[in-house]
Amino acid sequence: MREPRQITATQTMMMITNSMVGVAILALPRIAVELVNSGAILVTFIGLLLVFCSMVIIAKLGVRFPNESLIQSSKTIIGRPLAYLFGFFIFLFFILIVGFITREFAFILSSFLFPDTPMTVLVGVMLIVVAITTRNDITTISYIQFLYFPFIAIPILFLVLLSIPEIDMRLIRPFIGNQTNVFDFMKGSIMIAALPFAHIGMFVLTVLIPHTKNTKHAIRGSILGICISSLLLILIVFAVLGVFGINETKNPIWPVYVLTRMIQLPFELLERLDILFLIIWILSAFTTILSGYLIVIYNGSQLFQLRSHRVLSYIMLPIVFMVALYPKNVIQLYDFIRTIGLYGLFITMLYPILLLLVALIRKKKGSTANETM
Amino acid sequence: MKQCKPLLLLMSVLLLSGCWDRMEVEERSTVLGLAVDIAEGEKEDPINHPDEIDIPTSGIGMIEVTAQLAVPGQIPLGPSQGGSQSGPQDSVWVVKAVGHTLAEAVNNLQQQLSSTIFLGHLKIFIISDEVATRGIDEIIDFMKRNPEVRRDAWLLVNGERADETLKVAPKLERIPALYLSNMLDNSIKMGKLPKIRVGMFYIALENEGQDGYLPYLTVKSKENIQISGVGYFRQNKLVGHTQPYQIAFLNGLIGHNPGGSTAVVKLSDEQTVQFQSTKRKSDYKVSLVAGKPHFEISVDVKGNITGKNDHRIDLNNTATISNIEEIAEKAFQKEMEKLIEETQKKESDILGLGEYVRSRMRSYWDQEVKTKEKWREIYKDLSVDVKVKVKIEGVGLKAK
Amino acid sequence: MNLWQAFTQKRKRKSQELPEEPMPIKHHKIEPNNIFSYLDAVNTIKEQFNNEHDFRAREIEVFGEIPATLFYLGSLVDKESISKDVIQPLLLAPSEYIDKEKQIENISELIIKKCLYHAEVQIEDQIPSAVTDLLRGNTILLIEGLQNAIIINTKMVDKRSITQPDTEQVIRGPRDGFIESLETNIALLRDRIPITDFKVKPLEVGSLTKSSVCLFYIDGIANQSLIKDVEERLSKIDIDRILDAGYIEQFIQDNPRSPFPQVKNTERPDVAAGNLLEGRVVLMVDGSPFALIVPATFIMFYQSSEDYNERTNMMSVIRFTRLVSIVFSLITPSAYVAVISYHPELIPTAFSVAITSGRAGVPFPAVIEVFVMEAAMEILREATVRMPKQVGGALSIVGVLVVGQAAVMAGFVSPITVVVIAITTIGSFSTPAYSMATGFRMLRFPLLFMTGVLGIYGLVLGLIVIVNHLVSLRSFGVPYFSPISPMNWGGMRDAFIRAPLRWLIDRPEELHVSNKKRIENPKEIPTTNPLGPENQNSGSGGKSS
Repeated sequence: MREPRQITATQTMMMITNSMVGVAILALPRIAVELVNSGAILVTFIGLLLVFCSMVIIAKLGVRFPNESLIQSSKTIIGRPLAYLFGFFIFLFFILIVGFITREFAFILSSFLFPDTPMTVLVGVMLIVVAITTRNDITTISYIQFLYFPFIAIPILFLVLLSIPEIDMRLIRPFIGNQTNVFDFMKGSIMIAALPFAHIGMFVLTVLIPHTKNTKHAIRGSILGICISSLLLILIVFAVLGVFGINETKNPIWPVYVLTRMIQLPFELLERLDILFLIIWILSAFTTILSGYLIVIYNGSQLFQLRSHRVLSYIMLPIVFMVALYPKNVIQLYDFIRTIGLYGLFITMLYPILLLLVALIRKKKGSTANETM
Repeated sequence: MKQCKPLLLLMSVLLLSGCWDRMEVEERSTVLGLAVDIAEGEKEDPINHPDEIDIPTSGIGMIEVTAQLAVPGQIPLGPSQGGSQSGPQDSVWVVKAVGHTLAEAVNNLQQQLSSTIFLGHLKIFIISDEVATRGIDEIIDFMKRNPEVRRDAWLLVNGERADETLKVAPKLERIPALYLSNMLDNSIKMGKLPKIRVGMFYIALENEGQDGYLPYLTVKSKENIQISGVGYFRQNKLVGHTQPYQIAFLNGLIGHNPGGSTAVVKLSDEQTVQFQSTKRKSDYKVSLVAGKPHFEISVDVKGNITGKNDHRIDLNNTATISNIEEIAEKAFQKEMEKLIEETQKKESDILGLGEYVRSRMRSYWDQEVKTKEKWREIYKDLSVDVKVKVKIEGVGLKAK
Repeated sequence: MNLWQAFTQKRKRKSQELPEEPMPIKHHKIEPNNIFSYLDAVNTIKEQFNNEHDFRAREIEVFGEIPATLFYLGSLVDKESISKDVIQPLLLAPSEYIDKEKQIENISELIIKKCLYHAEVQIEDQIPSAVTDLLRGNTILLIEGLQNAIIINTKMVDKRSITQPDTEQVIRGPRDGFIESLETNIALLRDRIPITDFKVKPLEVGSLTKSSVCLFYIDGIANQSLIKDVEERLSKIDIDRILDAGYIEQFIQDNPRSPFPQVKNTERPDVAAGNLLEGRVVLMVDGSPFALIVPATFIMFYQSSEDYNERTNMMSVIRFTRLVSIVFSLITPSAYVAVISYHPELIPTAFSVAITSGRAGVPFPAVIEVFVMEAAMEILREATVRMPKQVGGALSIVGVLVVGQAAVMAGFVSPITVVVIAITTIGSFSTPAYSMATGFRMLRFPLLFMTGVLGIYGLVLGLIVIVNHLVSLRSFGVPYFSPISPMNWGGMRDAFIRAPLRWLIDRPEELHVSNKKRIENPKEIPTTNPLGPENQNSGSGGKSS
């Protein structure tokens, strides 16, 4: 890590928000509604709360070892062999996750817009652009993400605003859903926390913390990041549920996209806005896949003790590519995402808790000598 | 950026093999309107399956689909160059096809056309009364599954054969399908029709405590179509339609704004005034009375008087105005309750009273109702009170 | 040795087969440090120039007694100055002069300090450097008995008059522009910044052209490491010729492969002075009217000096329009292709159906059509620049008529394509900086290609690649996209809008200047109404009411 430490709180926040508001946002309302029908908003909130807690733990862990990445610090905490083992799991897990969300995005494009274009091309082109972008150093990547943030956040707010005239308040209540119980909520919130965007959002912090200006920035940025992205996600779920109602949200695979097809600008300037929103989804998919890919190659470079993450930029490309092309159809893809996401919770939620506890018990701390402005 | 040359080369190679989805706008057959009818006793060509196999038809029988296509080249860009005024008949082309199911019929349609069917501009989708009565499940499935069909299209029910609608060609419009969709869009803006484009219809159809309704059309002549009311559904079957004047009351109950429907208020045997609403507001209160839900709907209507038939009616007088208001309130209330009763008889909850119950009275719904079917039973005997308040704000420009 | 190496090796061999470099220029390699006698020196110099057309050797007798020779190149010197300020005073002996033998040692001092009228006089004791000075327009005075030569600066070359530069026109603002002569250019800058901190450092670059390069900066403001780095990069330039400032730009820029310029060039002294005061460094080369400004950021290419001369509100709107127009010029053709070929549902139905009528007879798909028209436009543009003015007018008529109208009527292109191309071209003219406009022009084509293959997905991905590249560029360490990308709210005041001058009191943060604030505590300007009613005396004439 010979790069200068320059990332500020705002940039951290934006990177995290960009990563979380990704492709899964298009399917999120459906997943939220599945178990708890009109309690979707509440279950999203609880799920995001879980993510918040986990992120705070990761932030605290990173702050305790400010100059080291997760893998390096885990070496100090639990010893080399275990650290390498878990590090390898992390590496593998994120390869799968990145491949799957790229495929998910390619499915969306293919279903709505490009039925004839082969999946190879849709996936390949996105991955190539992402790989080229990761050749830069992390500070530049955070600048890039910073730039895209308003283009993603503001249109989403706009979308919510435009849906407000169509929202029927009856469809949002009762807040805890009909014929639901606590277990449904628990299961639902865990399913939401297991979605890929949550994993990527949490773990991108491990890439950023060694590069932030100081720990204050890191913590502030991460908390702001998850607050803003949670706000956006909850607003979207609110808008979709309010307009569509329970059953109609469960119906289409990607209800948010269908929502963009329904709303209209008040003065009929442009009739069809879904293409414009498509641009936003492409941008947000790009930023999420970029963060995911960065996690993969950064952790990989830490694992294999390479000089810089750039070495792996192109090497990981074919591997992720093949993972992305593996599922045969949409149903299988979502099955994979669900299963692997759930297992991944062990890695992204439980592992950091474990590390932090062990670090506290064994009183391990990172060197604070370089903690300057 | 320094070493990305090989990768960019790779990308170019990937892409050079072809632009797969490129289809020029003139290479597509833009379908502007579709009409679905039952094709009794017709046989279709063995396009999708062998002749001998007995394919089960859709739930509603053999389907005949009629499409109105835009003919490229006939509709000029900008104001037409003087001279060649191609009439509306020339700018569109009407094609038919038959199939066991709707999807199959559309596919058979493709066989007759030189370019690929493009449904992205589909504005109106008309089904006949017969089709709607037998059940629209398949039609809805087709529309939802196809990625090109948009949610701001119009699904309409025609009293007679649906393809009659597509043959109407008014002189003033270049494209007949646009005439119809503009008319409907305009009605919403004028306040004469609630917002029941396909998107909202899907939602109403799917909701647990609600049923959907669609505009009901009648073809008046070769050149005009009239909106003759609203057809209401029970689950996915059409069970009845309202009279044209009842749309106004439906609007009132829903609280659709801006207002714009007119009603003729009879003051006495010889005197009537015409009332046009400008703003509507409706408020629903539900409570449990003797273990059953009881609704109180209060409707506030504000409007203007736009005409009178007798010069003896003195509109300059506040007493007269309040009198008119009172009479209007009673009349409207009667009509609205009549409308609700009609739908209750057919078990079609178009106002979505079930949704109010579900959302506001969770325990009742979870214990007593649980399903849509049960709600319909309860709906049949639901007690609903409507209270109307009319406020006349203006009388036009004349002082008397 | 793999395939790639084999390929490159083969290429290397081929280039080696070319004939050797042509014979080196015949210099008389005059050894320095040899003490020549007067006659030997004169003959050496005469041999060096050997009957060249403009070489003059004027023999005089200083103070009537001492033989001397004046050498100069007639094409480069001011002959009047030589006759009046050099020859004339030398022919008459001053009062201090008595005898030749006694004062021969300090005769040069006598001449320089007491005789010659000319303003710039030096002493030179090596013949090679004297010859170099001669080639620069100086006059060499060799006096018998002296071991050194007297060099007088008599350079006068015809200069262009100072006019408003063609490439950067403003409606309101100074109308002077740099010219080719470095002296005049320095004058134009010194005139605007008459302080001692304004430093002018000379350097020489180019082995054969020996161009003088000057480095301008303001001492208390510009960052020291920036100055040092610029000097270093200049010293590393290893080339035989510098014919324009552009050559230097290509050597000192950070990323030669990027389509975007990382060094700003300008012909306007007010632009150069403004940037100097912000903490940037300016480079000028003798022989080129273009000044180079480093470090450069993206926003600089969208600012024109006129922005600061006019009032805030109007200029903010205009600046915004500029940025919008450049975005249009980049994406309009691609957006058109994406909508027509891939997503016709974006257009309103009535219009879409009408478009098909316009395109019904066109043989090519939209991508090819737009490509061909764009290429034609580029060719036309290049042709218009190179044509002499008399023919240029006719060419534009031909361009419009043939390319536009006739092509549409022949059914070769659809009319909407022509409109799209027109918007694009006009949009690209609004960029004040030519080098940036060229970059965007060229980028249109790859973007068009991506859109042609993948519709709007390709367009967005292409834009992402371009934007990422822009953000990752650096110019002398400054991120190219500041103040947008490393967000700097203060810097935004001068980026998209133009804040009032009272607010622009901080120098740009990314330059890490030594002196951040321009003025410490700017005073408020109170509003006064001198001619208002309340300020009139009550008894001042009957006119006031």
